[in-house]
Amino acid sequence: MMIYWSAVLSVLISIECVFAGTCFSILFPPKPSPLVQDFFTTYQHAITPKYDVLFLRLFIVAGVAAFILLMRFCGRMTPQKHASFKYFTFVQAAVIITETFFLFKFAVYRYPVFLNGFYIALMASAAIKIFTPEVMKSLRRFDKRMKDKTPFLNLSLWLTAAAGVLIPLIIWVPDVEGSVARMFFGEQFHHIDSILMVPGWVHLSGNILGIDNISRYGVGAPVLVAEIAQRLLGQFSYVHVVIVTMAVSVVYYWIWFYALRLVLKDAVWAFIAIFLGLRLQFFNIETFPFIFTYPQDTPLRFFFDSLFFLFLVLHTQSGRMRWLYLASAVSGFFVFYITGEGVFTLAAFYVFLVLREVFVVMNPGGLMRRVNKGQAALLLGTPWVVFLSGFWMVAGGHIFTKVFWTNQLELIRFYEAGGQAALMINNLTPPFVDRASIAFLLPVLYLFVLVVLLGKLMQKALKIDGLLMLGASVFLLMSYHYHAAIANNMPSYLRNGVVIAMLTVYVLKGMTARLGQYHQRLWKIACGILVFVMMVTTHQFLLHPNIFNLSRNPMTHPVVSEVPIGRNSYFSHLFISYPDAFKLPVNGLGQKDEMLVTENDFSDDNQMKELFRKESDYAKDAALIQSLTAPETEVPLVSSFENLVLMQAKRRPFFYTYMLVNAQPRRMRKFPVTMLYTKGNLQREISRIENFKPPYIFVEKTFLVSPIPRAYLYDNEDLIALLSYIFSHYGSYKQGEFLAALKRQ
Amino acid sequence: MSSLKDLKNWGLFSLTALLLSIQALLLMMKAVNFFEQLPQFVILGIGLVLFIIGQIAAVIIYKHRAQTGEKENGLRAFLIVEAVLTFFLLSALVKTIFYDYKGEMAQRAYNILLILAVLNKWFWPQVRETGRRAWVLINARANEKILRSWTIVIGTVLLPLIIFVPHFERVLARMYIGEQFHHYDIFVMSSGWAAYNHHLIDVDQTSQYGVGMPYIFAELCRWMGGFSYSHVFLIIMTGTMIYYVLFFWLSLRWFKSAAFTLALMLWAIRVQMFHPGDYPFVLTYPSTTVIRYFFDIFFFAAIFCHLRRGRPAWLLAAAVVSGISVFYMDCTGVFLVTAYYAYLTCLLSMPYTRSMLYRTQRDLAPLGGYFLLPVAVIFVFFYKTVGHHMFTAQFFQNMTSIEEYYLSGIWTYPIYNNFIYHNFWAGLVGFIIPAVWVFTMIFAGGMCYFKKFSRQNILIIVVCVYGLGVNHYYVVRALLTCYYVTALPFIFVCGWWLKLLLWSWPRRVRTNAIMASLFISAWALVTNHNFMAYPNIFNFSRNPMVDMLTAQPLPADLSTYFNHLYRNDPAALKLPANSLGQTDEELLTEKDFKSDDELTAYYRREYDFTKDAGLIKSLTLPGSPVAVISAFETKILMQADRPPLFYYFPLLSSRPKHMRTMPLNFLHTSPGRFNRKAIQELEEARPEYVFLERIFLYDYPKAYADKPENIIPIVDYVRLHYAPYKAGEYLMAMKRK
Repeated sequence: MMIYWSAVLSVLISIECVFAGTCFSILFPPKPSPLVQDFFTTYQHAITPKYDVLFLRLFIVAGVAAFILLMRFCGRMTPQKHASFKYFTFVQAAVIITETFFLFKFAVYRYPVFLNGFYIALMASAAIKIFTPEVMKSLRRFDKRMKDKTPFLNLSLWLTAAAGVLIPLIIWVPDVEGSVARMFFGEQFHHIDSILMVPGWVHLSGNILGIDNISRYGVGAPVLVAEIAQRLLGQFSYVHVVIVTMAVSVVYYWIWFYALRLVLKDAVWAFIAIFLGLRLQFFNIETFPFIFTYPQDTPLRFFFDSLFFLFLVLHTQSGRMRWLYLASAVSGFFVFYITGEGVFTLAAFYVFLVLREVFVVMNPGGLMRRVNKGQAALLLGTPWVVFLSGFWMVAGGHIFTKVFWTNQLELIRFYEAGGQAALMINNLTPPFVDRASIAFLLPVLYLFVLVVLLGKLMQKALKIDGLLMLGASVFLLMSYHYHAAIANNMPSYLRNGVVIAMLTVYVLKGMTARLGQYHQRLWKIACGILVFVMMVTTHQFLLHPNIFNLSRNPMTHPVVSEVPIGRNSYFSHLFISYPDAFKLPVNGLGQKDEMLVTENDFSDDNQMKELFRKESDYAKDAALIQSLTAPETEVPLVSSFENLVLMQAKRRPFFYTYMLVNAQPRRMRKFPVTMLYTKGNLQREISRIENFKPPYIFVEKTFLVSPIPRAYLYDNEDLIALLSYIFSHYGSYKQGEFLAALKRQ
Repeated sequence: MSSLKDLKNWGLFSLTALLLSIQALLLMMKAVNFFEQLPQFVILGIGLVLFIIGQIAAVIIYKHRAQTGEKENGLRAFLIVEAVLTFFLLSALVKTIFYDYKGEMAQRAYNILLILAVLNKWFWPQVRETGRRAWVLINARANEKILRSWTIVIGTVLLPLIIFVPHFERVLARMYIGEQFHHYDIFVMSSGWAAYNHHLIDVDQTSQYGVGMPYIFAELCRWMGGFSYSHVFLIIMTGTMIYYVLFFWLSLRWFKSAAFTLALMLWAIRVQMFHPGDYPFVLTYPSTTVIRYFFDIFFFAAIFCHLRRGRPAWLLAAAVVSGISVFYMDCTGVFLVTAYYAYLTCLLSMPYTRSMLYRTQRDLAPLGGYFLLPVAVIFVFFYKTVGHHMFTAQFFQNMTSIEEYYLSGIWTYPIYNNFIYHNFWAGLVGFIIPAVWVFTMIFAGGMCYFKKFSRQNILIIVVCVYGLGVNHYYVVRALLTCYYVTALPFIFVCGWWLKLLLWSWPRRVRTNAIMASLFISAWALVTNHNFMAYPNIFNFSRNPMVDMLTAQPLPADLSTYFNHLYRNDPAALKLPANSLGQTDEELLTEKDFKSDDELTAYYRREYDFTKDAGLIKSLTLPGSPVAVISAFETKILMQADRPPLFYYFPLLSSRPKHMRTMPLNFLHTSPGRFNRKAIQELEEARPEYVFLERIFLYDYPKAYADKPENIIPIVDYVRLHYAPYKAGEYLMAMKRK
């Protein structure tokens, strides 16, 4: 066996020799051959002087030489030393894997941060070789400690404390204003407006969600967030809403960690699971450039699944019915909070109730008892009572009208019809094959777990934790409907990251349960390292502007970046490539310059924030609105950043489809697109104008520019129709900075 | 125990149920194709519900079967067959989606598999019984010999059949219209034509692929009745067939198991001949075929025999073959010589093999002979072909100029190139291959040294050394999967490791594993697009060159292959008319031909330069070198039966005959050196006539001045010193002023 180990070690050494050579070639790049002088300048791009052939030979020679030396060394080695030799090989392998990892990332992404990681790994490797005796001694001591049967007394406490501290440190973004500014320049608040800011302002301004204005994701979430921001933090603004989202995310993961500790009964596995969940949910590729740009991906959306599972865990472990009632209430409240997620949770809850009954019948004498008819009625009815109460608190008597429920289901119908959806199989094309493949694999795995656990349940071999996992797999299958419906090429199937992590770790724990304590500990360490590496080396983590961020200006000059495909930058990426042929001659200010900024236009984050404050200020336009409308009146406004304007003007929105247009940088020489989508919606807005006949309508000055490109008649059909109606009934009256007030004729 | 067994049974059943559910889902997907107006959400919803119902049904059936005592073995067999069917179904489905631009074959396979999946359930007792009988047949010791014999026969017949192209003129036609014989000309046609006319290679004309190969091809063609594209193609194809059969037989002697060797061969042929770089098919690029390193199989056979029997004659044979190999193609031969010396070093360094070379001082002389023999063979062959020129520095400079050219960094790519373009798998394999070789070399070396392995395993060390050598080809130019060009040593080494693993298993398990590997290799081969497009007797189409059922679109942009190289030439490069005086460039595509025969007829008509050959014949003497500056110069000179004048031959890179653009140089060396050399040759030889493609008589657009590959200096020289004398169809005879 020593020959085998020596061969492995010598190959590892030779790889490291090549790495050292690579380091050398980076510092001293190869000089071009004299023949190159004979080439024309236009050919220079095709010439790549390189050391690759030299490295191949170095690899071969170093490997053979190392092997010969090692065999001589091994010949004199006592059998006791053979174990150290193996340890050293493992350490060397770990070092090589680390070096390769950084070099690979550098080769692919070309960010200096990975090259620095490679240098550090190379230096660490040199240090390990210099201090080999000490390293070996530490490893032996560590190994002995691992084999020690006495438990690691305070590990549980330490890990709980570590999770408690690390979760907020990882999630929290110190520079909230900076991150809001990036949202503004990056994607003009599209997502935060859609889910929180717009419906939040509707609620705070006194309008009723679902009656006066639309709420796209649900009624409860924006109401709660708006109320928390207004009442607890003192102001409803973008910054404060992001703070609420971050706080909710921290609490969500704390609750989940507690639940995981209870269900996995092992602090180490719970620790691994919570950070795996964080990695999957928080730092997947969909969250570029950082998750809070998309509140619909944050735990804010899924908050109540943490409480739901916590109550289920508490119920299964104590048998007390109060926890089950609470779970039932939570699933009902979830429907009010975010309709889609709530419905999935409620469905999973009902399936869980059935499974629970089967479990109790199969395993009589446990902590849980069969529910009687009264309890059953309560459990089945509570969710309905809770979510109807929630809706009643917001919409009052309107919940008894047909229009309220028609409005609630409007977007679901839109998605059912295939709106903004893609075929799942269509994603199986480069470069999305891996993501799309996982999308197909996950439901199969969920179902497999479901079937296996069902089988165990029928064989009466299912333990109480298994029942919970059965519920979790049902929940995941329900929740997967979201991806099946949307099926974009993003990993939205990872949105329930913590539940996936819980199931994964549960399976892992079960698989390693038959091993001895020593090997179980090794598995935990390996899994912990894997999760740690998966987390901290992902681009999304390196981009997340928390206190661990390696850049001093993480918004404008991150250490890594991923510019969207076909774009030049993240800032203004939605508009920067818009063809000039389809643009207006000037913008609403009569200028040609659109002032589309990119990251490179800012020397640091502070400069970006200054521009943000300036660019998001609509004081003059707000004053115009205030001068022409009374407080508490609904103001019809057709403009980008309509919510920002109305918040500053302190006026209620008029249009049901609010936000009416998808914001674009305010100096663009083009028309924005609307969010009307259907002819019915357009007709609804025109009817509102007809019915209420508002004396003034405020429009973006861009709409007054002419001539317009003919393409707008097709591409912006809905907007043109709306504007035509407005212009035929309203005439120009007064102008603000970016808005024009039109008066009814 | 019983609960454990129950659990295992349950696990098997769960898996089976899962597979059946997936199949049900696939069947349903097929069915809903008829109801396309249903929203996807509804379709997927139905799918998921069906999926779950399927599972619940499976649970109920399981309970029933558990009560009625269904045997575990039956379930396992069913599971395996269903797993294979599901895998095939998913594989076909993925191919249909992934290659939606040519998913027809996958779609057909998918439909057939769906039917098979249904039939399997219907006729499961019969299927099971047939399978059981086959199993017994394969596993019975009594059948071992007969099965082995049959496998050898199948391998010996199948491998050539896979390679053999029945209608090779169609292939030549595709090469002509697809890439104007670039690779054939540069590999062997031009240098071969020079050698055929007794010109000296690397003295009179250059050869990018070694000195000896053009001579060998020229002599073989002479025996066949003349030097032509057809004959050269036949030699390459036959050589490839012979090589693979020899490789099969040698591997058979080494691995002993016929089924295992056949699996390995199918894998080898899959990666070497049908990897993505071989588009549209491997024989278009002779430099990527085994012809490049044809002699290595004889070398390894000699080493193998020497290790088995220890007779010096085999060692001498290995030395001679390695020497010939350098003569044949220096860029691969040199690695065979390296492998030979590595072998000698191994024999000398291992105590128990040293006696094979050296026992007493009297063996010193033969030992020196062993070391010197390859060098001697190289020199003898060089002397035999180029005579006293081999003692000049110029000859060796010429011979190594192409290596120098590449090593200067031109057209090379860094080894991590694949990672930059996110071809992670291709890039990873590029690193794994040399790592496997080094590790195997060290490990096998150690085991042989300490006598843990028999001395025959030294062959693996030699293969690894050779493999590392030929891997330079990829390391210099790390482009996609071009390491597969020289992948055969790697496959052999992988086979060695697999054998180590498999032969440590019980016989029955081993047989299963071998059958599975044979199955996987065959599947990997036949589902490969390059294989399906290969115009052998297994091709599904009767017109494999133009029928898009099997012919593949251009991978880069999924457009057509015909005339792809020049289709997008900018208008700025276009002249008023082409060399035939026409304005139509006739850039035809596959769709312009109804059948392969029509394509062949077009090729015969278009690739005929009889009139121009007549012009050359009328103005020059037989045997005198002729200066032709034209696309298709090799073909024109072959038809005129005249040798070339220019050292860099072919001088120009051919483009479609009707193009209104000027052909550019072939990049044998830097453009400056290239132009200087050609002008110098015209100055020194002062030929009375130079035959210029007629397009060069037009004033060239300014855009050509920016193209470094232009030959404007040469054309200017000709137009300055020569005047138009007589016009052919494609060429103009220019007479010295």
